[in-house]
Amino acid sequence: MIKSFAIACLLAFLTTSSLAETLEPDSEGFMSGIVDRAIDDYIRPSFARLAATTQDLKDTLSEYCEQPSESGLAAVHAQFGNVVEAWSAVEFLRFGPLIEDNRLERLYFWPDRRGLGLKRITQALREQEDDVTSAQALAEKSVAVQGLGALDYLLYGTDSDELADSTLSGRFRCGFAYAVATNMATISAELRDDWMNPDGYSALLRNPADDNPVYRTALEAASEIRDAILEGLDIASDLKLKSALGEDPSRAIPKRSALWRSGQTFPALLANVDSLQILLDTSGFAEGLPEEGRYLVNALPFEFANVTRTIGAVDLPVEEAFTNPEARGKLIYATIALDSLRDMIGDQMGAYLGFQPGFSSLDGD
Amino acid sequence: MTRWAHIWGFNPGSVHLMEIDISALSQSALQTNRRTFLTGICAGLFLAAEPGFARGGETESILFASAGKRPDGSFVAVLFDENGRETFSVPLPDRGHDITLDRPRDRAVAFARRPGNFAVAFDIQGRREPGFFTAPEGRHFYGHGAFTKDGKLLYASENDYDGVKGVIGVYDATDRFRRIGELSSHGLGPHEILLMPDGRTLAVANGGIETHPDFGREKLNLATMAPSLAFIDLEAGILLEKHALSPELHQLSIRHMDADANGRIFFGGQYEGNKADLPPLLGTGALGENIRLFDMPRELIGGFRNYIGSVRVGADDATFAATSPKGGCAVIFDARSGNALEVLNRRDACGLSSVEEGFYVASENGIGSFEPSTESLTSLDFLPDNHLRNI
Repeated sequence: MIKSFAIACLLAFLTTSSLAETLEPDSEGFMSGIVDRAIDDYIRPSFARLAATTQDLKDTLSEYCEQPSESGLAAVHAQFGNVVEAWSAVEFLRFGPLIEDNRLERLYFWPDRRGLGLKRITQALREQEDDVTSAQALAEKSVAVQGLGALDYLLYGTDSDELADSTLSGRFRCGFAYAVATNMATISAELRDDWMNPDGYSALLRNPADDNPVYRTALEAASEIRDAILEGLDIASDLKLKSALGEDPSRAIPKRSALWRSGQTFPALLANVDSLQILLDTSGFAEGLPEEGRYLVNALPFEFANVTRTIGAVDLPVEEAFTNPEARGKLIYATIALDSLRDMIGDQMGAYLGFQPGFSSLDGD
Repeated sequence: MTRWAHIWGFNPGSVHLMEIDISALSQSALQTNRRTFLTGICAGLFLAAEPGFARGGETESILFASAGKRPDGSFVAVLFDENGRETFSVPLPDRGHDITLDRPRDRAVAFARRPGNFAVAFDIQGRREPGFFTAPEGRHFYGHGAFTKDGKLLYASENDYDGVKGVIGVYDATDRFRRIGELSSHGLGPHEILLMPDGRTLAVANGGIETHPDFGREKLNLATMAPSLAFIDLEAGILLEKHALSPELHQLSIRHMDADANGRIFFGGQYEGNKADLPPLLGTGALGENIRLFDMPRELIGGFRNYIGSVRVGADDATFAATSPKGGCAVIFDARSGNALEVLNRRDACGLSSVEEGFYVASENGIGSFEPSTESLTSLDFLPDNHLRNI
């Protein structure tokens, strides 16, 4: 008795929504098509790329730490950029495997408002703590020393030129960086494999049913993809730009930015935005738009282009970009365009397609 | 339709009455800094009581309080009966959350939803002008509070965000809610707080999640979050007991709770880990005993979507109920065994109130008693927010 009640529990989510009623059941397979394309054409290849780039970084660092050279360091830096780009394509996919076992935080603990990473990393360097040069031991330590944030400091931060030194501290630092890259490669390979597993999380997304613990309908599964895009826009606008911009130039906090030491702040942000557009397009959300909503087909790429053009036009280092009036103006404009995208994809497209979370269920308390 | 409000302005030396267009006001409110808004025109503002309605009158109505959102996008705290008839409402500068009651003195305080920092105190009978107050610099409200039995003090769950500490703000309810101090909440992210029946113990649901207004509502410590249920002796100002969950459930944020007449607490959590995990979400605790989570069938837990929005103990203490707006359901449980007794499917169900006759549930489609067999929903002129209080 209870069971049948419970199974019906979530069906109420749909049956009382008139818009949803017109699309449910997913008779034309529109919602399940979104989910299939998102998994096959975006999520799986993106995690495979993260696994490949982290593995490459690990190998490059291994060679470099054994035999430091200028060209070797350039290769390490280039490979780091590839990892950042690959990471930026999955950073907002905060469901399933990425939030299992704190993988998200272990790959990149950010925002790190209290500077935990810096404290722990400099302490580990100062005291040459053995357990940070072993990937296995590192995986048991604070999430703040395990991922991209640690590499940003070790490869680009204070005293990073000692990476090439044959001194004890130089070799220790290189070993630490290698352990971080190894740890990231291990986690990324797990993510790739979990997503590739036909019986893994993708099966939950693809097979909505009453007894599916997470998704009862194709609309709910497709909502996960849509929510990830919206979360990605929020991360870009609120976390990556507004928190560093502050209310005025005197209150800007550039060093709050993600990956500012490596100068990857804006490349990573651009990669986030490009990736969000690719996920949106690949999944085919716009194909379900009714005639009156077709304006979004052109409006969305136009607004995405506004974001990437303005951020791309910022040619100052992060430390200056948030305070320089001209660059600051561009970044503020980018937040407006990002928020506009959120409105178009969340509210406008959401209403046309029948994604309508309730007042109390949306970002609840 | 234009909604009109009576505005009492409190410029020094003069009290005057004027009418303004609320929809226009809320538009300008959006463009106005919140502090400016609070210290400016909104210092005393509420909708007049509908004439002819009196509590305990010829029709014995059940009176509720809830924060909500008007169709025009403005935010309010509303008093209304089970037929959806509003007795009055107070405009809020931004989205509200819970409404804390001081029943013996017919007072209520509506708190801002996190990370807001405003609160508005008002008279339930509409006899006095509402008073706005704010959390001090460096603190914001979490949306919940509790009055002492004598009505002299108001406690509020707050975030000391730069200090990364949960605190309980203490306000003098006899002196325009002047903040007179604070206590540690003994955990991060204190959410719902309850004065225990002994009148001197405060129970605190420490959600365990670190947030900072500079980063909006982003959760900053999911890897290390440590929720707890804390009992604080208010007279001695000391922690009596603090109960944590087992390590594998450290991502189950304890948020909402209610207590029976003996001080037994029933709480509900929101799980921040993988959605497929389906951990138990509801539990019970009391001073002097470890907290215990109720085992429930997987199908039932799945229906909650890892998210409990509100918990209330039934009027006879034999049952408790919980809602899940994400799952679109409300469930009544046996308080002893934790066995589910009744399930109500209702999209966006969240606000929950316990009255003599049973439970009432508020959702975006209105308010209704807990009756799965009938759709006894009364529509409201606002979207009710997460919490419903019976006055």
